[in-house]
Amino acid sequence: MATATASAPKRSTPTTGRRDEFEVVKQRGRKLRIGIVVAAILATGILFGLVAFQAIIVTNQTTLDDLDARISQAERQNARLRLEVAELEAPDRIRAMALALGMEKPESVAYLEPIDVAELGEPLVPAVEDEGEVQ
Amino acid sequence: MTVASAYQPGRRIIVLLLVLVVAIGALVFQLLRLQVLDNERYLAWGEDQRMRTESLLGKRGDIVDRNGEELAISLQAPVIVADPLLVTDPAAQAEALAPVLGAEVADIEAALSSPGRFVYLARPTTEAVAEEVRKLGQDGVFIREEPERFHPNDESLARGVLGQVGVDNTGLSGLEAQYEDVLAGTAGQRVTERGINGKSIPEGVREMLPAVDGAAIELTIDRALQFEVERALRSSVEANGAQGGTVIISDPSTGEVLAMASVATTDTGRVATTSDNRAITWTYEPASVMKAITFSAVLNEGEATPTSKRVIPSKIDLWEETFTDETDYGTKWMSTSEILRRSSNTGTITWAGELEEPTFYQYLKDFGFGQSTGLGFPGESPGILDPVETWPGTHYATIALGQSIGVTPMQMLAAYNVIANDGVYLNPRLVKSIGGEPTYPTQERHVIEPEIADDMAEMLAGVVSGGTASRAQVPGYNIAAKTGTARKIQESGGYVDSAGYFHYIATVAGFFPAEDPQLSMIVVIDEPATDIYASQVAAPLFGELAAWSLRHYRVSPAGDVVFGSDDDLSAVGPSAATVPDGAGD
Repeated sequence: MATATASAPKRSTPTTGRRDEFEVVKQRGRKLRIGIVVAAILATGILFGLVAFQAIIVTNQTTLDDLDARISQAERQNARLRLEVAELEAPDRIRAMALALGMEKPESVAYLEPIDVAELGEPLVPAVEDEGEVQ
Repeated sequence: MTVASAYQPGRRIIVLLLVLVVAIGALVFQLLRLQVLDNERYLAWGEDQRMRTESLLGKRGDIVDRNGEELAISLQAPVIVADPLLVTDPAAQAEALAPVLGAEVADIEAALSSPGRFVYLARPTTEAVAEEVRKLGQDGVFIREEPERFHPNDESLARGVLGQVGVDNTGLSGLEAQYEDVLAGTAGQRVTERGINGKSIPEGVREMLPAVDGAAIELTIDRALQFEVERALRSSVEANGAQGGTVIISDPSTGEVLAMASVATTDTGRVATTSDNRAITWTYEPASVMKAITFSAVLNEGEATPTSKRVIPSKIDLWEETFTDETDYGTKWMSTSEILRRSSNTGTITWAGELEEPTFYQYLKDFGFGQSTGLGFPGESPGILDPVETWPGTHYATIALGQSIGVTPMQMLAAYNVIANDGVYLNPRLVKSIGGEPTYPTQERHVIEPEIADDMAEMLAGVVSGGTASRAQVPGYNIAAKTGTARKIQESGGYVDSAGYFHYIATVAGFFPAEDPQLSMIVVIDEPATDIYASQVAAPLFGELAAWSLRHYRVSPAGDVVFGSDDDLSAVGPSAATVPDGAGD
């Protein structure tokens, strides 16, 4: 019995006479191979893609962990600097520094009262009208 | 035939098959054990290895002053811990660790050899010590971080007010204990899935319950004023050889406490800030500072005016008690203002007798005596004020003079604030806001009429300008204040100690400027050795701190403006000539 070969016609043949013995069979083997190859390539590609994606995730996770650690470190440093600033601004430190620099606490305080300008009378130096006339 | 019979390939195959069946059976059994029978245990074991649960501690809230300056803040500080199971050589490791941690070798070795898997070696410690320990790189010894409370100004500033926290960061005393539920944060938790190198497993389990930080508390305290008050108080107590002292400065219009300090002389003779807030927790008989309260009641009841005069004897017999003034002047016409200025005991008793006892008692309650101020401070004393029904015959007289009544310095200042605040009582406050939410006075009541408060302010200004509190004067300002020198009750219950001596407490309470009170203050000096009288011991400190705080808050001088040198200042400054030393104090 004849089997489907590569040379089998692709067109439909009359169903009468001796030719009825022949049957057109689709060429499955070749397509299957192509399909397998394509599928293999796709699968390999997907696998590579997944691996690459996982690698990116791992890298990003590491970066995230590093960032977390840096945030914690920065927060700790910020708190320590805040403490340092507060210590530098502390009154006891400022007082000690002032005394070390030779400053002294005044015995008393003198208050100044603003004087009414109108009570001063005529100014001792005449007002300058022309710069050229000033002696 | 023998050979042929010995060679039985079927048996070998059967044996081989049996071996294979047994082997496969063992594998299947192991598979079943791992996946079905004991799967929960191995699952848990695996999770235990991968899952890491970290406790996230909420940061304890800061305590800041009224200007936002930090008074107490929390930071992560290193602690040295050990897992004794992982320690390889406890003796050698302890030998190396002890000098770094500043501990005994035996103690460290005992800790490293203890049962269990966790022990503290140093808690807390410094970064420098942690670095040294890190360099040693010992097995089973680790460095962790825990929150620690820091006081940036120094440990003593406002120590009694702020209080302390324990090693577990929990408030033990003072405001730290009072506001523990506000300051303490809520702990959170972070669960992560980690690999063998401690790194997070990507897309692994990651659960987070964030910690909630404690709320910050803003105090009414002014850091700069607090520092100056503590410095001046220490200096005064030291100079007067006193046992201790207390100063409170407040804003009478709001009840806000701007500075509150207590110091005591230690066994070594050093004067240091006390950890107990004696301004609120200590009760004593205030003596003559109470006379201002007595006259406030007398004037408000319409029994007298500032100019009302009476003949006052220098000695009064009341029931079985005899009350005298400082000097024997026989009898004398004195106005209420003069009685207050001279701090006359007999004059005060004479006018207090015009008040019905229940009326006088109600005034004392309205002024805030015998009850909590509403601060809610741990250990706050309500003072001692006997119910009027139990008063013996002389009680009204002794209370009018500031005896037979126990007050805290805070209560007395709050009472003076009534006079300074147009006759309205406002409960004192130490906290301005919690977590940004402002607080308000919880007690507000009308005690005396505003015009009576004005009269009293004028009378008290007379005590400073020409009375017992003259050394509290501040050039350029009108100061209103009253002195009080009290005998101190001894442990035996009487006023005399086992050696037969009296001990004294000197007080000055008042406000300034008298015509428009911006600030109020009480100064208490406990058992001064140089002089017993408040006019000599407490008044100078009152004047010094009044001058400083008036400058600090830029309150303009209202009286005569003073120019020039110190000589000029002395001409208008404190004068001891107006009143004999300590007379009627």
